[in-house]
Amino acid sequence: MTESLFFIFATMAIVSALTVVVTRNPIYSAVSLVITLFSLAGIFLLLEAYFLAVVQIIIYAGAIMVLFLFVIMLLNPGKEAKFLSLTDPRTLIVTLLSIAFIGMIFSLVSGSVNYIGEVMGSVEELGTTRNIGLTLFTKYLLPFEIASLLLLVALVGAVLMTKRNLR
Amino acid sequence: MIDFQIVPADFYLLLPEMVLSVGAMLLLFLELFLKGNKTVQQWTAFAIFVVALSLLLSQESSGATGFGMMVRSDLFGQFISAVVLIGGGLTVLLGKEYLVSREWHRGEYYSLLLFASVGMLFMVRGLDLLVIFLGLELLSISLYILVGYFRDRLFSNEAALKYLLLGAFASGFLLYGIAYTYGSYGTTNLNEIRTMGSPESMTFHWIGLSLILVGFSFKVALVPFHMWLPDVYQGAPTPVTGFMATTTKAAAFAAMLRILFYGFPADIAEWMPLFWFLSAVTMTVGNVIALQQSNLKRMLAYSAIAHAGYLMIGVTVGTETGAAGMLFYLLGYLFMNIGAFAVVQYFEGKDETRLDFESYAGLAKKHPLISLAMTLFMFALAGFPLTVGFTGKFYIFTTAINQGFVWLIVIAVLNSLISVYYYLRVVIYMYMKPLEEEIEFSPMELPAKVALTVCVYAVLHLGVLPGNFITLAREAVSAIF
Repeated sequence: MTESLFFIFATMAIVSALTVVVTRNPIYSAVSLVITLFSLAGIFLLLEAYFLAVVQIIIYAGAIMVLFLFVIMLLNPGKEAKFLSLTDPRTLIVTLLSIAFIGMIFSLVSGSVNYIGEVMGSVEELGTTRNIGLTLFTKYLLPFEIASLLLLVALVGAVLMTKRNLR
Repeated sequence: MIDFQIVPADFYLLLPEMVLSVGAMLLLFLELFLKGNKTVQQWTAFAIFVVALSLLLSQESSGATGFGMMVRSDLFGQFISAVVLIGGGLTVLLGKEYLVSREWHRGEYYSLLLFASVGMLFMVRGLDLLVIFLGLELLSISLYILVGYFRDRLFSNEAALKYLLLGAFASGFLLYGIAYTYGSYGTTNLNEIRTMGSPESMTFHWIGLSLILVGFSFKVALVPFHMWLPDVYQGAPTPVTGFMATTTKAAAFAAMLRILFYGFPADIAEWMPLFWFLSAVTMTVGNVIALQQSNLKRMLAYSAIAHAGYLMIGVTVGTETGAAGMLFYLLGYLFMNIGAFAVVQYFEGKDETRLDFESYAGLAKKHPLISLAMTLFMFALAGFPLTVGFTGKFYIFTTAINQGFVWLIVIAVLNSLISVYYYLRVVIYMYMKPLEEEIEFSPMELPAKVALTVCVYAVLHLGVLPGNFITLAREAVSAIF
């Protein structure tokens, strides 16, 4: 049951991720991205990481993607120009290299893991909101604080880059 | 229940980072109230760098860890952190003139330099891959903004966008690598990884480590991950370029050394052929392309790539002395490169038209002292005796030869010979060509003069009397072995 659900979510994630890149209409890209994020949330659920799954849906698929869609609709861009042509030797080289890379990782990984299931430790303990909060504010307190500095810098940058009449 | 305690000693350990970040926020506040003359901000920023440096140096380098083994205070971290903070201080001193003449003198410049330094300190002192990654991101985001600081200039925009896109891509690689490493060890803590020795899954270990290496190769610009560097160095404000070229390289190399040598000591010998190849290709490509440049900033950018190649020799050798050589070279590189960029920024003029070799023709007659300083920096970068460029290279090269890397050093020496051509071209133009047009440069302000003098002195001192600092570098690397 879990395994078949995993394969359904994984296929959805990969197919929609490909659609994000391949389609030439930005709106389709954005909507495909939402589907990718939903499928990932599903995989998190299967791993019993309930908190992450919910956060994934609320923040990524919800807030951020809505912003994306608003910006796309406000700017109202036309269809993207085709910039990948199959006759271009560079495209071919890049495609071949990517396929080789994926194949390499796949052949290395396929023999050595179960797709899902045996995660280290008792999973039911790890994925709950309570436990995430506890680790985040004890063991990972320092990274958490550095992340807050990171956000501050990003904020400063956004203001500096976009504010009118700065001089 | 999780067994975890935070004691005052943890905060003591992080004092330099805390001073820097509080200072950065203070500068943002000052920006609200200060109108007109903003010299105060320059001095505040400089004072913050000095305070952070003295706090850092006053700490015990006992290898104490803090915040549940997230950071570690050892001599290795102190050495490179000092390089970063000195570089930041020099950049603060050099920045004002440049920004004032372009009417972009704002507190954010100093604030972002401080934030970038905080990021680098975390990269260097972090003992957990997560802290190192977050430090790297803090550094990168500050740098994206600093590179695009002149937002009304197309060159600056282009540089920032390129750096942002490629940098984000590189961060992705790094993070993916960290995830795989977590998958194979069940922890991101370098100390635990080190004590664990062998991973649960060798496959994940290999994928993880190679992706981490790709991420860092982007940051230090090893060929073939160097594509972004020339455009970014050329488009960024010149003081920022000097800052990026020296401190970022030091921090990224230090983080790489700590991850490789401290976290994965067993892998160094196995990966040696790859490091060998990266080192040889990087220095050759950097030097050969630098030969064809007519723009001085671009030439120095390719020279930065070449120097990353020389530094990789230290990783290839994989011994304590090799790493010590890298540390010493990074210290010397700080002064010679920031000095060179300081001269470039003085001569390039307000509209940045005077960046080609021709505009340096005959400058020695009118500006004998600055030309002399530039000559010294060029000689140092090329590796002439009596400068730190020579002692640094000599130390790295002899270590490599002693370990039997003869062919790599043959390539490195040939590369140094190639580089003499383009470094000395600047000197030849300054001293042996007639002055083309009379241009009045406003006299250099005091802070910039001080910074330039410090660079000249350090290049000479480390070149003539390197002993103490080499010993210090050797003690420093023993902390990560």
